[in-house]
Amino acid sequence: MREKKLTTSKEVTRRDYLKTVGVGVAGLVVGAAAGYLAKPTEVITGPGGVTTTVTETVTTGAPAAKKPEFINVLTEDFEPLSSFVASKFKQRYGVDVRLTVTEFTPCHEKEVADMVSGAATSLYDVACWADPFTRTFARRGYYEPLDDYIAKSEVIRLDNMQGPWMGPAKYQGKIWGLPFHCLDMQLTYRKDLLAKAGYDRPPATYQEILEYAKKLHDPAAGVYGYTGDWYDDNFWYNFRRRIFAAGGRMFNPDGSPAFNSDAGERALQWFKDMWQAGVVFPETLRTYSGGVNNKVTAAGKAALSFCWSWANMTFEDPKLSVIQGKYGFALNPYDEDDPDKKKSCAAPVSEGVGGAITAKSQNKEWAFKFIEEYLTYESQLYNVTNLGLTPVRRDVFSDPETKKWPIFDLDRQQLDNYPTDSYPEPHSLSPVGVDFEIIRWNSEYFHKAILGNISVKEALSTVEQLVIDAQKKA
Amino acid sequence: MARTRSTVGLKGRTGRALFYLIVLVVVLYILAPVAWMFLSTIVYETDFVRMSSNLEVPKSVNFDYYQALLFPWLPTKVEYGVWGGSWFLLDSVADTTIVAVATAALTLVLGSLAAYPLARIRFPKRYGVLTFLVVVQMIPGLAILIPTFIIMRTLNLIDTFPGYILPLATFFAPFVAWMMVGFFQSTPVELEDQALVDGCSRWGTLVRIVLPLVAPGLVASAVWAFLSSWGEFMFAIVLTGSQVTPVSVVVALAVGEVQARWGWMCAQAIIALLPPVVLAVLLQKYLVKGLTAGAIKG
Amino acid sequence: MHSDRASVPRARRKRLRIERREARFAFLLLTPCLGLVLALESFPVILSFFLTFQKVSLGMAGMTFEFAGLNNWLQMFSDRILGPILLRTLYFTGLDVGFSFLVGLGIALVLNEDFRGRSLARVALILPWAIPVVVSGRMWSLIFHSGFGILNTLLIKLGLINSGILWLTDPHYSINTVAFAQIWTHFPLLALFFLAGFETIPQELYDAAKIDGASRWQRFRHVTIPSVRNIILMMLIITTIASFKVFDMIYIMTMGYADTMVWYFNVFVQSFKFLHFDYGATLAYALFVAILVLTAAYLRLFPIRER
Repeated sequence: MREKKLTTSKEVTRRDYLKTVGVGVAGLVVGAAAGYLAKPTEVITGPGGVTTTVTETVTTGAPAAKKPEFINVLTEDFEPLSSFVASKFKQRYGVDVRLTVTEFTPCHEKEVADMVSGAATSLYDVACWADPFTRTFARRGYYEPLDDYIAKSEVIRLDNMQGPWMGPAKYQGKIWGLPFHCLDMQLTYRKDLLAKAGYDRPPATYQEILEYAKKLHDPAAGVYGYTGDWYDDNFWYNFRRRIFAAGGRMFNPDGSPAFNSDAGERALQWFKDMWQAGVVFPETLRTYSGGVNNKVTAAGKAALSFCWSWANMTFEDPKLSVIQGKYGFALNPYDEDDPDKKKSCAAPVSEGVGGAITAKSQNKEWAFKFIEEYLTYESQLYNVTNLGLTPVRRDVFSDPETKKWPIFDLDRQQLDNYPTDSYPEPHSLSPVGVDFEIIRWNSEYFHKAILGNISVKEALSTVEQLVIDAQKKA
Repeated sequence: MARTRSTVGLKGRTGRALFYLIVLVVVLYILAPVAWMFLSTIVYETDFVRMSSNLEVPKSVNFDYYQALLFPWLPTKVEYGVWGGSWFLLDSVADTTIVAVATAALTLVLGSLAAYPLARIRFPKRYGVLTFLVVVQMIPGLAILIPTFIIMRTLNLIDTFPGYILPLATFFAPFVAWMMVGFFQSTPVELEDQALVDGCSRWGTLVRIVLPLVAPGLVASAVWAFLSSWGEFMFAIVLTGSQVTPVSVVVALAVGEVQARWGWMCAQAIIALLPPVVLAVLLQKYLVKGLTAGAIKG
Repeated sequence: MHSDRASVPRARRKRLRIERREARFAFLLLTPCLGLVLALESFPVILSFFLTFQKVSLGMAGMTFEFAGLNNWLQMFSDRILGPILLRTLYFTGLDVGFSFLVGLGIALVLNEDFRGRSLARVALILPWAIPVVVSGRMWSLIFHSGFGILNTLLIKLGLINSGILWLTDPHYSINTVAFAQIWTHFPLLALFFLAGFETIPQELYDAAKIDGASRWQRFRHVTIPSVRNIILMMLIITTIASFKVFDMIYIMTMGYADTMVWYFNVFVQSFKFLHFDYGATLAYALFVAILVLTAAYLRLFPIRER
């Protein structure tokens, strides 16, 4: 039986069109009226609302190259910094900035797509740079070496940059990227909860963290002993810090994996012990978001955590936090078995994020100018006052504004122990093969070990084998 | 239009009660998550955490996030890490509307033009073309992502509207064509034959006689294409950047994700879902009829 | 007679002329669509095919190729991690299609009745499909949050569990959670489709069956199902293919971690994260071929017949 349905145009009548249009127009009118009549809410001025009036003492001249109409910049997160810098740049030189702001991971994907297209010019003049990016893009010629530009720059002096964050920018003797700021982590603890449990000082070693967390864990009150973020490349930063504290390293100088060792087992075992003790906030394993620690701690749900540097400000905002005045920051922990390594174990547990110049950019000198703009005193201080991010310039570190924040103060203590220009190479991905794969397998298999689905030894061996396989193929 | 009654045949008081129960459960299942997400956008972060983890009723309700997103000319600081004064969401809603409307229009033209000969004219290799259009719909997008990027890059169309609209329309056209074939076939041939006999050209018949008859199908296809391009994500990341900002990219990669502001991110999500939902709800009669009629025939 | 025989070849020539004109018209109309599809879709697909036999290096000139024969294909067959991924893909698709169908069909049957608020329910059904997938993903991630999420909170308050379930972190739950969110997106549209199909069945068929003494179940089996057979088969194919290509939801919810990696997502990870474009293309091709074979098998077993 064949169905014959005669559809006539009458079914979509003029009245239907008018109805739809009418609704749309009504919506617009209502929306506009609401906007016009809405009163702005009270503007909050907190510690983060200070605008700096420090002006750059060194004058930066325009480059000799022809001035472009605009430059393309790909940058990660923290859009207010890039917008701030872009507006300064535009004011100074009259060059427009086309800003593409995305998260860290899509930055990588966009740069991959750009590199792969093989076009004569690259889509971006300034491309986002971070530790895991160096080897991927420098090795394949996507980035431009910056040594000459730095040498000629009046704004950037290598001895004025924090050493540990310059290290990952180096590959085969050249510098490929410059960090703009640092995402820093410090051990945060709840003063009130520790006092209630009878502790008079924060934990100093990893083992103490486990012990404190067990005691402070209070399911009835909804307080977890510990929260961290152990997801994707954040787990990588946690793990490499831990293995270093245990006296080991991730990779040997020749690039072969070194984490399948006693130190590696000891390190992974710590994560597993923490998890299996049931004192770790559940989302720790999952959310790719440094802010989760901050959020959890600010909501009063954790007694110990590794918090990101902008915790400075979130913990004081009543709309975000219930722990005003109740928290403190402590030095990063070391392994109790190696008290000698105390100094070196308290390495900054963070990474710099910044920019690089693409090799196929048509406006390289102007791109470098833009990078310089990030590294002026003004912009660097903006990091501190408005964003809670660690500056990479040493002189800004000593600024009174920076000294106001206890979290940066601790940073200083730890950084002062480091020579300017060296960085524990084993931490950096720059010399090592397999780029992002190691990060992903870290999370994938080490997570399984933490959850107890496979043994610690098996996880380490599996990842080691995968790394070796991948290095053979590359 | 004959409507069946009692396919299941639950009669009586208990039958009706069971009915309403099932319907209620389904509607709640659909609406509750959306309502929850909306709730997260109108309370302060701390209040939301307490509400979500402890079922504590929040003390106050505010629309700060919406104000910051929808009225950026009123600069406010909502909370640390969230500032008003930025037009990024309105920009991306405008961009996405342009993309969606243009894609819908282009897909409609491509698809219906292709469908008519497939439905009415017996030309050689007709079956081959039909099969080709069906097979092409099964191509996984990732397989052609990089080549498409390279082609668009060579044409210098990355981060432009045509550079994003063209691949999308190409991707959607086969499905629309396949649907419209069914519609065209359901119109009575006699009307066309009559028009041809009366001296109308093939082209004239198409435009003046046939297209009005399949108007519901056209509406359905347009709405489908609009909705599909609004939510498209994979190609958006690669083909767009700073000049063209689709709203799906903005929501998925919400700046501020690092600071994990749920309310802020969900407010953007709510605004992002309004246009397609409103459109779908208003035109759902045609949408469903269109898709299914095409499906029944096809 | 004589004139008749002479006019036959003339008539035939005229018909051929008309046919050729028609064919030209047809191709004119088809050219824009086919042209674009060939250029932007088929050409890249063929390119991908050649890519599977190359070893890709990335450098200043973009991608450089080096002939590598069947290396990629052999690697695919010997890759240890693909076995679990394949099984998981089948499991995920099975869940997705199975539940979407069952629930969709059930809802359609219920909604086919006449009751108040029916139109409201139908409007609600269009919602999950109209909402962009990235938004749905965010929404469900919020609800399934293992620390603060409302779901865990409710379960604990109701006394059903002691501590929060790790919906998206625990490998036992994660894939099911993602499937759950995906089903939420799918089933309402399916329900609407089936509903529309049910509505085309004339009441007389049921009345006739009832007169013949058929029970409710028999009516369902012999009147309802055959009438919507075409729709069911077609939606089965479409839903299965769409399920194999699920990407956005996984990207937003888990990024493939915690054992939620399915075949298509692995293509993405291999290509964009590990930069093995040749291997990624191989995997994508394998998926494409599998879909084609599956569809062909479907159509052979359950041909879509005219009613």
